[in-house]
Amino acid sequence: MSWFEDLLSNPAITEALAPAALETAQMVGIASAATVALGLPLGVTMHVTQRGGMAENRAVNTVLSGIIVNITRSIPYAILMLALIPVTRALVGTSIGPIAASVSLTVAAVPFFARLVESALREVASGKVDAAHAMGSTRRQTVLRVLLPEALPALIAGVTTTVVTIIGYSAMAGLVGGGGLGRLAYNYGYQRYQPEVMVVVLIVLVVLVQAVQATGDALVRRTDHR
Amino acid sequence: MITVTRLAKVYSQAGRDIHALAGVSLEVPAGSVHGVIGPSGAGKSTLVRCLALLDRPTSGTVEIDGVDLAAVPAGQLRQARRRLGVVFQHANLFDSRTVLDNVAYPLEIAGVARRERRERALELLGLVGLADAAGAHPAQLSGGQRQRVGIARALATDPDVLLCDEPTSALDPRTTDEILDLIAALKARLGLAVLVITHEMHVVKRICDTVSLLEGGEIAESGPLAAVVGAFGSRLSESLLALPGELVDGDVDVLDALTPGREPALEATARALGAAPRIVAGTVETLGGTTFHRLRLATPPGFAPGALVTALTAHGAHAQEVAR
Repeated sequence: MSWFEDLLSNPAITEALAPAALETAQMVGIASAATVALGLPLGVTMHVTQRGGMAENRAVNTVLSGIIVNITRSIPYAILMLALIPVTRALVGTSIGPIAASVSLTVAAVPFFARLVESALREVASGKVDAAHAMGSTRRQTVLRVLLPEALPALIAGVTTTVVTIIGYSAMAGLVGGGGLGRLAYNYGYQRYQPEVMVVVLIVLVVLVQAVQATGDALVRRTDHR
Repeated sequence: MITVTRLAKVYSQAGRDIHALAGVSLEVPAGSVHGVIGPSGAGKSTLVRCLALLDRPTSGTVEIDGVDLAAVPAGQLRQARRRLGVVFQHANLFDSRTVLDNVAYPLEIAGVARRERRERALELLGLVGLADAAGAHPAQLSGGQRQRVGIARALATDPDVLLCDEPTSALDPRTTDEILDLIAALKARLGLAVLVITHEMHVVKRICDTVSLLEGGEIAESGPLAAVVGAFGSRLSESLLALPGELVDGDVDVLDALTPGREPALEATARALGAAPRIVAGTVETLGGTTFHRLRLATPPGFAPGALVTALTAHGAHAQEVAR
């Protein structure tokens, strides 16, 4: 049982695990909230400005969807987070810590989530939008009272996928000063040859992702009335 | 009362102009049902979209009680739309809302107080026979029930005109009749002008007072149901009283409009000729109090088709030798 005793006496686990998990939760929480707050309107805008959309606008759609989203999505996160260090420093005053890491996580996740929002809205039958218009809905009413509620299950599924992706990215962000579970695994598990730390971090991450996914799935089931 | 005058819609597609509607005029008085029937590609969908103001027509007017919807500025369109209820082929209910909240939607966006719109929605659900389903979600209902909810929703703003786009095309025959009878009953009760766009002849036969045939974006034939059906050789008559089978030289097509008490021309002809023509195909339908016999007869041996035609015509029927 020496391996198990090592586990319980290793300060990397007894003392560093809880704060690291908290940092990860903080990064993921801030980045997820910011991603939904920015990505939802972006996705809605991309949807309504597309060709044949209810507020068709070629220029806006090209800039948002064709340029900003596509370019951001084509940069690997590992590179994006390094490239954004000066921006982060200007924005939050430092490039170290979970709050600073949230900046690059958000920048990476917003376009991803916006694409998921766009495809969720595209799945809403056009007949429903026609019906909303025929009954005299304004565009704002159509979006807020018909389009978004009808797409809600798909939107929740999109949020779930996005949060899981952010958890994955957050481990990478940990390496360049973000802290959290990623850094713990790297510093202790990898650089100090303590495989038990690596295993414990992996277990915590797996449990975290499972919990997020299960919560998301339960919410989808509850909101899906089809 | 809805009056459509020279309604035209031109789409440009790949640099070419497509005249989806080329000047359609219609008039539906309150308390009557007008059917617009036509094959695929005739312009039915475009007509619906223009009438429901989902697309702006290129020219022409859509007047409801004297107000031209097509000319209403965008800001007042919402108010104008309340005069027109639309029933869609697939009901197009909102799955995220309960049945009650679906019916209340038009009132909600018009700013009616919660309590009031709830009462009104319940009243409408009672009208379509679904008061029990108020708390259900659309997915829990059958296709016919969903269409009833769709009709209740279309009536929420107390419109003068009900526009029905293929209201029964997704339903089975029995449910179709239930929905059609409901539309007819609501028309009578609420004094609605109902415009039904469909490709189903059955819909026209069951509820329409007047009918138009839409072909290539134009009204090809139009009139009261009995008059249109009684017009021998008209396409609406031939579609509404369809005959199966192949055409054979020497056969004679007959249309006999029988008002109550009149002897069918076929019987009188058989007596006069002393020989009974064999019925190759036939359909009998009573529309607006008149019984229509549409028959294809084989000329009896020893007679010329012309003699059969003459005899039938002499006894009050329309008759014509078929040409292959």
